[in-house]
Amino acid sequence: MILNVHPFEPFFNPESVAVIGASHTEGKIGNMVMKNIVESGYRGRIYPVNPKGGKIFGIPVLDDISKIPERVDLAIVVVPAKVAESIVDDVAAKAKYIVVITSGFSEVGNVEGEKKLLEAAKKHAARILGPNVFGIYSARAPINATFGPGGIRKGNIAVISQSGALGIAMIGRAAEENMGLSAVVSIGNKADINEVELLSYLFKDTMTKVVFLYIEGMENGREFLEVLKRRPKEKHIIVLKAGRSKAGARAVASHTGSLAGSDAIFDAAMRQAGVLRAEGLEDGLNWVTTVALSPLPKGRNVVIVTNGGGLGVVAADACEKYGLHLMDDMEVLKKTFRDVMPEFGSYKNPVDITGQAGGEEYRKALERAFKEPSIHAVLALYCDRGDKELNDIKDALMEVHKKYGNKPALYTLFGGEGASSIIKELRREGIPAFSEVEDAVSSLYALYKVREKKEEGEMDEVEMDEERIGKIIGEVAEEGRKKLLSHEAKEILLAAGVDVPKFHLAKTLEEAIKAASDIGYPVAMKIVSEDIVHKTDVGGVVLNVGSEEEVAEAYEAIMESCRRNAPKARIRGIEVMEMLPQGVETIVGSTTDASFGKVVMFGLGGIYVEVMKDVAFRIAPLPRKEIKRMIREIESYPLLAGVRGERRKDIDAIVDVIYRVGLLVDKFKEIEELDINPLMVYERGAKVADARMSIGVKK
Amino acid sequence: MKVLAEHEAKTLVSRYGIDVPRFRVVEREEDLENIDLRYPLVLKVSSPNILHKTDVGGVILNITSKEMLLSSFRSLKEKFPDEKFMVEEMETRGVEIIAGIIDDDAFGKCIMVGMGGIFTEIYRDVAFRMIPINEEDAEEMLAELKAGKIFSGYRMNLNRDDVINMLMKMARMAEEMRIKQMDLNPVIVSESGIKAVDAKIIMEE
Repeated sequence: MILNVHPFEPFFNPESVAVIGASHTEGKIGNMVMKNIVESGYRGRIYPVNPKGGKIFGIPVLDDISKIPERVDLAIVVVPAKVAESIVDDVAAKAKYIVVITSGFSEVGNVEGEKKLLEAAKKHAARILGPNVFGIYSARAPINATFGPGGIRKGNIAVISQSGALGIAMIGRAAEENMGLSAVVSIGNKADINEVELLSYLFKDTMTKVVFLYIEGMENGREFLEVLKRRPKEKHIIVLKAGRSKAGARAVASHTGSLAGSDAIFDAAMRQAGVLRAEGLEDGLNWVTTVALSPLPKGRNVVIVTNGGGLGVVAADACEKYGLHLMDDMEVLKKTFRDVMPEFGSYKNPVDITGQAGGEEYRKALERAFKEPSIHAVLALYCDRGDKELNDIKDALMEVHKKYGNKPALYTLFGGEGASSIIKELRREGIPAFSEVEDAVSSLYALYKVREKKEEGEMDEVEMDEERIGKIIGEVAEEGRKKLLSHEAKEILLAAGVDVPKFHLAKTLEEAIKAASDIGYPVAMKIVSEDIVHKTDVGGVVLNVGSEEEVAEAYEAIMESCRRNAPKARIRGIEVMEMLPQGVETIVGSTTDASFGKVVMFGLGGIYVEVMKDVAFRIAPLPRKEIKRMIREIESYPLLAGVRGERRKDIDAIVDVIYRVGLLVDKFKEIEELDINPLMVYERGAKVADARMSIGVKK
Repeated sequence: MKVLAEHEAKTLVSRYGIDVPRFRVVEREEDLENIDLRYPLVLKVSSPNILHKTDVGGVILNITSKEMLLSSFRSLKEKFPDEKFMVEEMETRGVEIIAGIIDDDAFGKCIMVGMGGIFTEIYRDVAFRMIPINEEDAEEMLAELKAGKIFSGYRMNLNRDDVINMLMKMARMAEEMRIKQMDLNPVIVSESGIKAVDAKIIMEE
């Protein structure tokens, strides 16, 4: 008996498969799928279904779905959309997993049709992949139930693609480079099965080493983040997400909201999960192949071996750009390489074995590099000097590379057609070879980054007056308001344990005077009204009020000018508050993302946030450890850490504010947006100078 | 190499039509008697021997009264008995930028503009061009800056043309004079134009 069988085992390793709409006609999808299944060496039971009956590739065709003699693990549906809608109930009764290749559903507005598919599946406890997919390939069965190219080589790369065309192109590319695949699944409209469940299987699948995920959009960001975080150490994933910012879809009442393009949030989530995100397809494919082929480096020392000084410098520059460390222990470099190069060569990294170097010299130099334990990764470069020599080089690289598989070694052959064909040969042998230095260096970077799984840190308990927070939110909702008044927002933060300087909403002059003397001079005074957004513009703010007389003056002045400039505004009173000394102005915010839910943001205040967009996001709530990483991520971090003789600011105080905001918005999901702007940060402590909050319907 | 005192550098700069804050050169306490400048003021040592005034405590900011001016002068005079000083109107409102000229070994005279303060230090937000430049070049330089959009009607009403004009004038200076290096840092840009608040010029011998 097998314990803990993953629910998707029958999907990736089906014992039986039905093809609904199998076709006799060559070139039709129903025929291509049959052909691929048969030719992929599938060993399970195959049931083609077509009212015409007969045989396809020698397999008897059933003329009705009801004649399928068992409940199959997998059914592939290729009939037109209208037909698919009418038969889906019958299919669902006969199959555990249904792959709906057919297109013409929600992607063209046919939402009703897609709903019918789902309802049928639900009724029979079946699951649906698609619709609008190219099928599934799984090396485990093995089965190629796609209408893409056949002849897929078994290997350790799994591909999940939201785009069918891209998935097919991947199969083609894999074939060309002799790259092995463990699974290819396109997810299409994601009506039912999505990337999360597939990933949870593939991260357990013994055949898969690295997953390449291409997605355009997602609704279940939280679950996605969870499955990524839980992935085992030895499983890797590279994500390529297209479909940049859709900031328009979000409410932008706050700074945080306006800065949080959907892509900024996605990017933050990938950082949080320690997942490597490729910017483009070419990088993505290079990275996946390299990770699939190569061991991971065990340390940071990279050595460049080259026959041309120029190419070596280009590689060294690229290493710097990607943050790779060039081995700089001259003793070791000298000992390792001095006697494998001519007198005028250079053992300093980049190691220049000179233009005279042929296969023999490369063999020796690389052998040394592989054998020296303090060298952790090798970038070998070769500038093409003629076809005859190229073959020697190729033989040397192949021989050494295969003999020592213990550390990553990536090869760049720079030159003409001769070099290109050698690169292809090397790749076919499973050796990471490139025509561009930059590609090799970025792929080595991927090897370093792909396993960067960070310690998550723990959540600790903090005190929060939840009752009070709930009460304030309840009262605002009761009044039918979305925006909280500044004193309400501050009271919530105070109840959440954030350091808010003393403040009081005064409804009369007497109250204001009393408040000011309780707080201590000087104070700031601000109008409080839900109808006045820009308080300064209507003369609603007076700063640095120093005495009782000045309070009286300021009170009258504010009231008078607000009545004049905003005659219709409902006035709640005047907020009297402590004047804060100048500190480093920062912003801490939160917004609600359609797929990831509550997120928090941190950045430097004022112009830095708005012009430089120098902010960092994270999915909330999150442990303090991760918050520290988030704070360090902004470019202007040196301002907090202490620059130009300035003292270090209280970063732990910022961490505490973000931690509490994360917990607050997680607990009170009604808080849609929140800006603490500015949060004044000092050498000791951080204080809220102003806050905004808006609430929505509780989700 | 010949370093100009700040008042010399500013006189030169303003001769080319680049605005500087109003200032007076003072040597003795008596010179402060009839100062016709608007408070708050800045007092600084102005000498070809002192290139980094702030580092040696040669600048006193935010002088708001005559008494303060006198006492500030006495303390600076005590520190730098043989130097000249500048009293200058303090510019308070605006955005800081930095502009300069260098004589590069390979490319000859080049002009630079960037966002001041933290922008230069942390974001390295600067743009360079070889001299001579035309107005389009100057516009491109501003567009290249990461924070360049503050010149296109962002929040403050800053006039991009003022900055472009300044760059053109600087470029002309560089062509006509034997300037080895020049720094206008900071230049304060506001609704009312630009003001070069500090100027350093090093001439070829």
